[in-house]
Amino acid sequence: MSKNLKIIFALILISIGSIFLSFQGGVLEKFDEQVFWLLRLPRTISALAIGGGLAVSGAVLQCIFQNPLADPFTIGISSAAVLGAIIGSLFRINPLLGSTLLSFLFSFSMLLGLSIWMKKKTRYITEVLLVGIILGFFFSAVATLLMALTDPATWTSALTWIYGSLGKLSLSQATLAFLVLVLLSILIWIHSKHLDMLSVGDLSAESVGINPEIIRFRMFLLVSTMIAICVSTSGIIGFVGLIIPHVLRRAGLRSHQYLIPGAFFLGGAVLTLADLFAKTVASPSELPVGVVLAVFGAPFLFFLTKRN
Amino acid sequence: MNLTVENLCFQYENQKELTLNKMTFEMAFGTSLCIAGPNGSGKSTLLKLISGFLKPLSGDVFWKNEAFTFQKITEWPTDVLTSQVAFIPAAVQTNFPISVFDFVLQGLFPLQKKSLLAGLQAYSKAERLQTEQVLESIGIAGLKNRLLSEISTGECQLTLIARALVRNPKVLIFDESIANLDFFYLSKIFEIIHHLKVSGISIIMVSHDLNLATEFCDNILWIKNGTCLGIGKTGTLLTKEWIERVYHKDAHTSDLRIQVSDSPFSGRPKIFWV
Repeated sequence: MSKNLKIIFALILISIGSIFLSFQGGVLEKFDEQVFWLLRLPRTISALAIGGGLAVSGAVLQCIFQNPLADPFTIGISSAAVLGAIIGSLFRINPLLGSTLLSFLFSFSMLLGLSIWMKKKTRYITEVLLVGIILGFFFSAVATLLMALTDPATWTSALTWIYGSLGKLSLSQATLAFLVLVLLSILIWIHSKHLDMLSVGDLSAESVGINPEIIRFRMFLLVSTMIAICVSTSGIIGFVGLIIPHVLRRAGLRSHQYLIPGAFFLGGAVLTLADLFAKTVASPSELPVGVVLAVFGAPFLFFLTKRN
Repeated sequence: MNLTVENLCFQYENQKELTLNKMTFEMAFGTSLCIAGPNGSGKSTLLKLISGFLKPLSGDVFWKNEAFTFQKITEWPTDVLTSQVAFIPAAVQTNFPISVFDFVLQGLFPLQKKSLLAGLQAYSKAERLQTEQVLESIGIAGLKNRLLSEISTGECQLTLIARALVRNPKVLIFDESIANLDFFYLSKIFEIIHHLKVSGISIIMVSHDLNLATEFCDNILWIKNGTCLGIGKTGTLLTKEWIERVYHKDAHTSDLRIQVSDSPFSGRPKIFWV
């Protein structure tokens, strides 16, 4: 078995372990069937799906933007998606579908806009990051304002969008999100070689017969759908998409053929564990999981920016 | 392969003027051509058009091959075209870890079968062996496990050349791809190109170092403002008069301080500063 496969196998074991830990709620207590089916199981499935989805999106964004600091949060896509989701949730007909759809439109146009802006001339990695974070702040602020103005009673729930929180989904919703995110990840996965070529630059990709524009457009569609699903179900959860691909590349998963599935498993495991931590650390009250990740993620981003 | 370029025009989106304006020339089987001209005259753009990376505004590029019925560049399937016409960029830059070996292996992608799962297809033992051999022949087998981001510019250029050679193309296109090589590697590449020329491979090269390019190429194409001023044997076209005509900017500039004379060793024209 090759080294890469061994790593993938280990990552699968880690995510299985995280599932069991999460089922137990972190503490040894009596098994309660109702708590399990209504709370623990949907929440664990959501965490696996969303963590995996975000990590895969991060890996793809880093590759297509040639930017190792890109992730749905740092380049502002998540915040655009949240704004879309909140506008969508104002439509009373079908809030979840409406918010996912608008969230997709917002993240997709943000991605397109960014890529057009980046095509004009060569942009520095940190320049892109700065613009992403500024736009991210702006979108989050507009989203909060919008919620506060339309229904003052709900504005605190804007915070759960902006800081990210799992546990909004029922078992069937979580399962659906999981299946769709796995499917999208597989669609990305079958482009592994193309992504490998894109990560060494457009000209190198073209010289082996790959059209970077076509691949990038497909990735925009797939990734913005993934981000829309993640964000409209659980708000902005930052740093998973940034850290996971980095750790995996460091561990030796260089080719996307291994990086993409590896990111899905590790992303899912990390978010499951972070959520467990967020639930239990200040129990009985609960922290937003995004806060937990930011505590670890922000120093990590700082470290990476310094190195670049 | 035979190359025919007819009335080729091209314009970049953000530019007012045509980068290529009615470019017309022809290149026969198994010959070698150096494309030379001032900065910004459209050399690299021309290379990208004949490699099929850019779509022309008007005009046509024809690649003719005995084995193939395809002629117009747009009628060639991308894989077939890139497997036979190999473009070698001047440089490669990446922020991600990739080994020299894996990068050269990518050069075989156009030859692989295309299906829905092409992105997951593994490289076979034979393909890996082929890659080893190419690295060996260029003399960079020792670099194979190094990361692309760690090696020097010259070593990167050798890696790019290996990435093109690995699929045994019919045409090699060098875009300033030998600008940073030291004498040892240049001699090596010189030898390789000589062998390729003997076996009927066409060479197209853009280089600012004409003294070097004339050692590799038998023909020269002068390009200025996106049009072809002249094409022919280096012996007849690489003269002081031609160079002054091509690089002449305006009436007030003084004469270029150069002389052209044949090399006592290879007999090819060389430019000297006087």
